[in-house]
Amino acid sequence: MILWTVFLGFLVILFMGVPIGIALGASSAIVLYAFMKIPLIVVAQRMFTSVDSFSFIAVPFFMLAGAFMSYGGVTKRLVNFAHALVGALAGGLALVVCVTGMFFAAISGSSAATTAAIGTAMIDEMERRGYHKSFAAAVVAAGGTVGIVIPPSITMVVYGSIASVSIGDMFLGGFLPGLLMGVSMCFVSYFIAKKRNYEGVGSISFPNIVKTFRECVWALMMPIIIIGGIYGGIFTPTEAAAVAAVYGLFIGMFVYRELRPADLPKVILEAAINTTMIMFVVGGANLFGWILTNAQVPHKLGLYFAGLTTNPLVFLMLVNLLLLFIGTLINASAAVVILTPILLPVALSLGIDPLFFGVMMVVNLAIGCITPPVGLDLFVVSAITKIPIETVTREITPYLCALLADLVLITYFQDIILIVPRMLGG
Amino acid sequence: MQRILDCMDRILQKIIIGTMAFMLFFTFIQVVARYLFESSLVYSEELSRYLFVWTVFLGLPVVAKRGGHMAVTALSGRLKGAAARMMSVAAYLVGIVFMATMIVQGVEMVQRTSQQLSPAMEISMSWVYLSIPIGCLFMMLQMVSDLCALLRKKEGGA
Repeated sequence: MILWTVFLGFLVILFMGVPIGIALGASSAIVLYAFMKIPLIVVAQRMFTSVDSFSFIAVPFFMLAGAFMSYGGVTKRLVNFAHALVGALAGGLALVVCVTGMFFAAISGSSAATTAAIGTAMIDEMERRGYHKSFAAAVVAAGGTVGIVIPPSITMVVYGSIASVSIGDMFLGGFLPGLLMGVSMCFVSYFIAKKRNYEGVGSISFPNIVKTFRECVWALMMPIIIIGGIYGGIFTPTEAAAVAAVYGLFIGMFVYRELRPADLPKVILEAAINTTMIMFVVGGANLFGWILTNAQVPHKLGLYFAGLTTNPLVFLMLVNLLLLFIGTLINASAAVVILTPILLPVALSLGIDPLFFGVMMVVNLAIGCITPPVGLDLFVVSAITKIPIETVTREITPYLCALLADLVLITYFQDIILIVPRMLGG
Repeated sequence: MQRILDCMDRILQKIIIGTMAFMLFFTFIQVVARYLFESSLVYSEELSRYLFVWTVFLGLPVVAKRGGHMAVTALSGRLKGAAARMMSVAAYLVGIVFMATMIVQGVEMVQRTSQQLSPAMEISMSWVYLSIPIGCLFMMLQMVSDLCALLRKKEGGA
C-alpha cells in the first residue's frame, strides 16, 4: 500500500511537470504524513543530511575545472591537436569531432558541456567544408556522450557518493569504455564519410602533431593529476576536484590567457546553478529512498528478481532496457540518484560488482543523452544549430546503433570496465 | 513583488558566487596546508560542507527563477490551451505547498539544533540549518510570483 502510494504519487506529480526534487519530496511527504505517522521534520532532515556531504562537493569543483579550461580557450587547442592526428583521413572533420570529444571529456565531467563546447567550435567549419548540417549536429551530439564516461565525470561522483564505491575506481573504470565508445564512433564517421565523399583536410605531419600536442598538453595533464593524486594517496576525490579547478583556473588565466577575471563570477554562478539542480534531486531522492528502504522495497524487488531469474546477465539486460528508457526522460545524474538505491541492492544480491554496475549505468545513461525523442545532447545541438531534433535524429541512428553494440559488449565482457581499476587500483 | 524578487535574485547570485569561491579556497588550502605546512586544518572540511549546504539551498530560488529545475515535461509539455494552464497551476500549487512544508519543518530544525554545536568549529548548528527555511522561502515566493503571472495572463487572454 505504502509502496504503491509513493510510486504512483511520485509518477503523477512528476508527469505534471513539477521539478523532480519536489516530486520526490512531496510524494514522500504525503506517505510519511498519511501512512507512516512519522513527523514531517524528517523531510527537512533528510534533505539536509544528503546535501551536507563532503564527497558531493566534488561536483561543482569538477564543473569549475572544465568551465575554467573551456573559457580559457582550451577547446580550439584540443581541436587543433585532433585535427593534426586524424584531420587528413576521409571524413576528417567528423573524426576530429569524435577525437576532440574524447579529449574534452578528459577535462569535463558532463556530456552536455562537452557537446556544447565541440558544437560551437566545429559545426560551422564542418558546414563550410560541405558536410550536411544535420550530420554535423549528429556527430557532435554523439561525440559528446563520452563526456560522462571518460574521467572526470560528475555522474560517477554522484554514483560513488551514493553507492559508497571509490570514485577513483569509477574514474579508472570509465577509461576503457569511453575509449571504446569514442573509437567506434570514429569508425562510424569514417564509413559514412567514405560513402558520402566527405574529404579529409590537410595532411598528416609529425612536426604538426608535436606542435599542437604541446599547445594542449597542459589541459590533457588534468585527468592524470586527478587520478594520480587520488591513487597516490595525495588527496581525496573532493580535494582532487578542488586541485583540478584551481589548476584549470591557473591554466586558463596564465597559460592560455583567455580566461579574464571578469568572466569568473559568470563561470562560478553557472557551476553553482548546475550543482543546485543536481543536489535538489539528490535531497529529494534521499528522502524517497529512505521511505523505500523502510518499506523494504529493494529487498522485495530482489526477491522478485530472484524468482524471475538468477542469471545476472538477464538482470543486467533488463536494467539496461529500463535505463535506456529513463535516460531519455531525465538527466543522467538524476537517474543515478533515484535508481541506484533501488537497483544496486538487487545487483549485489546477484553477485554483481558495484563498481561494474555503476560504470555500466553511466555508459547507458550517456547513450540516453542521444536517444530520441528527448535526449539531452540532442537538445543542446538543436539549440546550437537551430535544426529541429527530428532531423538530427535520422542522422544519429548509426551512432546510436554503434553505442548500443558497445553497451552490450561492456555488459557481457565486464573486464572492459574492471581491468584498469584492478591493474592500477589493486 | 516582481521587483523585490529581481533584487533578491541579484543578491542571492552574489552570495552563492561567494560561498562557492570560499568553498574552493578552503578545500584547496586544506591540501596545501597538509603538504606544505604539514599541518591539517581541522575546520576546513566542515566549513566547506556548510558553505556547500548554503550554496545549494540559496541556489534553489536562483534556479527556479531561470526555470532551470530538472523536470519531466514529456507529458505536460504536450498539453495545449486550457489543459496546459490547469496542469501548470496544479504543478505550482504542489510546489508551493511542499516549499511551505519545508519552511515550517526547517524552522523547527533551526529551533531544535540551537544548542547543538558543530564538531570542529563549535558553532551552533542552527546557523547551518537556517539555510533550509531561507532558501525555501525565496523559492516559494518565486513560485507564487510565477503562478500569479500565469493566472494574470489567463485573465488577459480570455
